[in-house]
Amino acid sequence: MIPDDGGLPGPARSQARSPRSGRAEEFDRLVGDHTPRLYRLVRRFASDRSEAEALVQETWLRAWRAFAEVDASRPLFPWLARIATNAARDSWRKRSPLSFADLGEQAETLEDDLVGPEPSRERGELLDRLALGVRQLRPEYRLVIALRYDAGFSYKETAKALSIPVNTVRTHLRRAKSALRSWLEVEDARLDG
Amino acid sequence: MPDWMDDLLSSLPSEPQPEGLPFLVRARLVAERRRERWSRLARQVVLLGAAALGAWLVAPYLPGLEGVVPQVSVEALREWTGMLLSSPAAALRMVLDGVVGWAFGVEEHLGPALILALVLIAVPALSAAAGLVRDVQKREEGLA
Repeated sequence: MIPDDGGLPGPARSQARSPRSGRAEEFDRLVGDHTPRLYRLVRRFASDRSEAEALVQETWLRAWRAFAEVDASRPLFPWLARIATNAARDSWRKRSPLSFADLGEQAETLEDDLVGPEPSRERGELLDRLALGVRQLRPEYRLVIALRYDAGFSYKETAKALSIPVNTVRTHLRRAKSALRSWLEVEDARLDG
Repeated sequence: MPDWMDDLLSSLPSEPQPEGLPFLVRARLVAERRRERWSRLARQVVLLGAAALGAWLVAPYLPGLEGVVPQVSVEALREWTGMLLSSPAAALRMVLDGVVGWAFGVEEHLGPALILALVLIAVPALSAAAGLVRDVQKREEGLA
């Protein structure tokens, strides 16, 4: 998990967001500083690499247009994350709403399984499979997982970034985890069989 | 309570960003800034053109404008200021009545061409004033 330090210390960010000359250069520096983290976040909920790259570019363009109006005293990354999730949702809205695998609905009725995977299972292999499972989730579940686990946001920060109630965040997470448990079970059975 | 799934999700492998991505972002930003500059320039040209056209239209009417320029005395201004402090709504209504009356007077005496000319001059002037206010606000925020 990456700590949410906001990227830059307060005074440095204030200078970076000053509307005076050099604003573009400072913004370009922020692009260099924050793109790796932003890409990791976006890649978690984007369906493929090219979509992730397009979303990162769109996020920075939107951030540039709103840069002058941003409150310089607040951390930058949550703001970027919010722009990125909005850009993703706008992009998904334009497409067919059924263009993703609906793993979440299948698992909603399954009870939470508190027993972990087999201890003998290689962790790295398990994580790879889980990452694949995350990509099969409904988009809103992917967004919540990305913000909670990749960006390290609290429930409240996640809710704010997505403009949804905190309880909805909890529900999405619970359902997503339930879906992923069943995904792992199905995958285990497939591999064993 | 965190469970094994929380632990796994916190450790999910992540792909590193493609090497050229920041360069692609910067290239798009450069194009965006160029587009913004052209758009700003185009808007300024249009506004200047409107102001010039307004000035050209208003020029023949200038000698006759003396008759329609509102006469404001110091005494009337003092009275109105007092009214503004005691009853802002009434003061505003008085100003609006005066403006509407003046507009009708202008229209009656000098015709729609002058109204159009005044609009053509007023729009760029208001736009410039709004830009100035915005710049001052930004400067204050920058110094805060």
